[in-house]
Amino acid sequence: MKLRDFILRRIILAIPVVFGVLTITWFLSFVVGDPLAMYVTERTPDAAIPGIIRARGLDQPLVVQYFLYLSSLLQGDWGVSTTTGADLPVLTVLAMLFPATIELSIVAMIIAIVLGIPLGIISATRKDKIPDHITRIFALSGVSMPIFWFGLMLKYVLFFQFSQWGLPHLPGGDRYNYRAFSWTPTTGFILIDSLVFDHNPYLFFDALVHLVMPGFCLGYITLAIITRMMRSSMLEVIKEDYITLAKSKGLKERVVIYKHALRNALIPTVTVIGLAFGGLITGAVLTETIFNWPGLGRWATNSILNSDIAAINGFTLLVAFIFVTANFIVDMIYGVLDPRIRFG
Amino acid sequence: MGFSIHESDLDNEGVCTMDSDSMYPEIQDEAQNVTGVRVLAFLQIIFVMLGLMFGGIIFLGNFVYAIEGWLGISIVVPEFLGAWVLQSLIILILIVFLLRANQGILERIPDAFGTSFYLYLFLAVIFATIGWVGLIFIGVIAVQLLLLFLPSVRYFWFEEFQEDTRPRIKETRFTLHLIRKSPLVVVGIAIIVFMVGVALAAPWIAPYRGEDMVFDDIRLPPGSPSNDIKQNYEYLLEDRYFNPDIMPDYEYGEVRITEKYLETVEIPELFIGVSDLYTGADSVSVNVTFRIYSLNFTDYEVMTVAERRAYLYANVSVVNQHLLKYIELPDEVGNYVWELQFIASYKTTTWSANTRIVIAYFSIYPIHIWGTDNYGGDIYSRIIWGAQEDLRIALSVVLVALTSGAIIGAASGYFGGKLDELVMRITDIFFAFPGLVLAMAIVMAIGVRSLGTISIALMITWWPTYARLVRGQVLSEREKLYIEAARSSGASDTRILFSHILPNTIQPVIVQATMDFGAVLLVAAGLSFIGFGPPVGTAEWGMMIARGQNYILSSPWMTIYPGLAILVTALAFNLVGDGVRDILDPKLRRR
Repeated sequence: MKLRDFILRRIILAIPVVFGVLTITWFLSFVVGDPLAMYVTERTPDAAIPGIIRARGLDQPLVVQYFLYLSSLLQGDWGVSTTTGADLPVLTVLAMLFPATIELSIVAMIIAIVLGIPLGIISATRKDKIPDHITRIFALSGVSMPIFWFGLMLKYVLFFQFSQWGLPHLPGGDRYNYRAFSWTPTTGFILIDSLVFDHNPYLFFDALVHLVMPGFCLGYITLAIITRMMRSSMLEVIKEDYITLAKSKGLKERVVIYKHALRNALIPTVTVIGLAFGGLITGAVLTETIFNWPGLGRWATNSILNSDIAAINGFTLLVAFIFVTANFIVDMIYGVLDPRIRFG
Repeated sequence: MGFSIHESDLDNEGVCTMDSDSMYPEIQDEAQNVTGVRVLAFLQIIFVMLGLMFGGIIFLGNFVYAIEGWLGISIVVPEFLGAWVLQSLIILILIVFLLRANQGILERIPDAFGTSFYLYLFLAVIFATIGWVGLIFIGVIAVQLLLLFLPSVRYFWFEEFQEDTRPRIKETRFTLHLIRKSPLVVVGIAIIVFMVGVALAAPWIAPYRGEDMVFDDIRLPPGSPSNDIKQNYEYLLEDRYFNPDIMPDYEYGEVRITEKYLETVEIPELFIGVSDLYTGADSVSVNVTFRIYSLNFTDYEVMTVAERRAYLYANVSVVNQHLLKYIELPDEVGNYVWELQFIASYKTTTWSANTRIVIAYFSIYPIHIWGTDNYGGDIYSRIIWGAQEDLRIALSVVLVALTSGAIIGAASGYFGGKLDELVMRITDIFFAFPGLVLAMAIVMAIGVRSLGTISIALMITWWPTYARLVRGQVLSEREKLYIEAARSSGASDTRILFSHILPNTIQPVIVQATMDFGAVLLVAAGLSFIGFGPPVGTAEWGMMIARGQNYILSSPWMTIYPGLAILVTALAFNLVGDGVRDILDPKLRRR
């Protein structure tokens, strides 16, 4: 199979998934309450409601309603959310909050990759020795760590206890220090805005410091996953014949590991990284709630507790699309890196 | 590729069963004449009858309950799909398969023994979740397993059969040996056993119930004694009906003051109180004299009244008072005797028939070893009760998701074609949502906040994992030679699938299930942390953390201990799963 056909096949396979996701959210808006609630808030005047019902086709048969729902989604009309305080279209809110979550996720991902890959290599090259055991327990505790509890503990120790002891401490929440700086989002990514548009390195530094704790909290699980994957794939690769050959040629251990083994061991790790990116969005729901991070996750939690159906649907759709896209990209990378997949 | 089994299978099925009946008549006779077999058959009948009855009762009970709900008595819609119903369905299905597998043992089908063994184990696990009635079944299972395993059963466990299973037993022994040698797995198993033990023993080891709130003990740090005096009476005389006409002259009993008691109670005191038995009103007046002697109980009994007087420690008379009278107790370790005497002249005039008299001394204050939360709940007790709740969620979710996922995945992988495509697209849709978000949406959709709702939401979220896993395994196993052999000897599709393919794909599934116990624990705790949990007050680890997060600066113990409980339990499951995967991996196995 050619690469083009492979990509085409993947795209075709993704279509039913997208439709399934859309159907599930439509179904949800029925089960949770009234689909009307997507377009009506407390501030909507009573007189306007019959008009909205007619305009949205909510008095039509279910099949028609379903297709009207799909078409309004495709036209960018995702309903009205009240969770932020004002009545805003869901897409506007998503666009407003998305950068905060993505910034946090990217930082978490960088932390996870930068720490995870070396740890995995160390663990694999010293298998069954003390560094290996420590790394394994570290990685396993990452997988079994309740992320919300970890965040609270980090906050308690690094923010509260350190300030009690008079040590320099990390900030306990928020994106930046609201009292010291004022920031109007341009792109929404505070790290970019502060340097490129505001020319304010102090704000940049402040935002970076605010990112450390939530970033590490969110990245810990991914870090654990990457470490474990790196360790097992490295162990597989080390047993291959070409590594034995390279060693018997008299190459140094370092060269063998980093030049020959690492590249091949990275292939499965890359896929795991791609898949874990979707998982980070889930983790963001909990992390943002704890660190008061003004992103999608906190908004989603609040909207669910408020039964804000339009917001729930919007968040679910967005996350599902991110997931599908991440899976798709991973498949692509995998197909490019490992030609055997394409012929399978 | 197409399979031609579908048409030919129906014919072969009949031939096959006929063959097994007629091919080895003497062996069948021999098998049926042995007592072991007869006992086994007898137990089997009892077991199946009870299992069917029990599974049926739970199923029907829930069904009726749900219909009642629809009629408007109470809303129990989630109960209809509740874990119990699914469990009872699974019990029924498993018992049918077990019967077939045990029939297979008698017919000398090589894989039947393994299948039967796994089914027994599985049933035992399910029965363990049911409670006390389930224990009877586990006992029956244990007896059956003994009969199957004991060497005396080799009468019907034929020579060749033994020959067949010997390598498998050897492999199992080797696996056990490897497990014993790996420290992390042993630690993990120990923690799991400990946690399960704690959860089962909760009524005996937890000083408070999970929902208990002691309002005098709000946010006490770890290790502090309870302030709540009322709860800590130790009654000396209680619920005794005193008939004024035949009222005794006096009552007496023993008080033992121990060192621990002196340590925890600053001023040892004793008080007597009177209240109406039915209304609880304590305004009834009473006329008694109360005395404490520094005497042994036995010494007291042999002495005369005059002799006792030398040992009198304290003496309090209460006349025409509705009393609460405190008497200081000796501040020394030892045994004392209290005595209550009714004052004769007032005896019949002031006493009403339904009055009870309470003499109590403040017993040892219970210590909140891990502190209390903002409602005065004892963290230690709540963690113990929470272990029960959380482990029950994890167990029910993994069991149901595994069974349904495995059956769907196996069917999908084995039959292939359009069914496979359909199932895989459905799992794709489920995989498009992150687990937590999907579970949140399902909880919203069900609309009832309870532990059952969380379980159902997680079951729906989790089954695709197993479906995918089992499907992949079945696909790789389907083309192997022994399946071909089984097929050509006329085995039916279900038999090949359940007696040949599934037992051989079980290992990675078991590893996955072990690790998923940890993952389900985490997601369930996360769900209840953000407010999708059971009703407020339920002892559940995630909710305990949620309750503690607002007080983390002043009372961090509210958060630390439940979090540690989750971490340790999830870590234990992951340690076992991770270790066992390495052990079972054929590439890493012998080196």
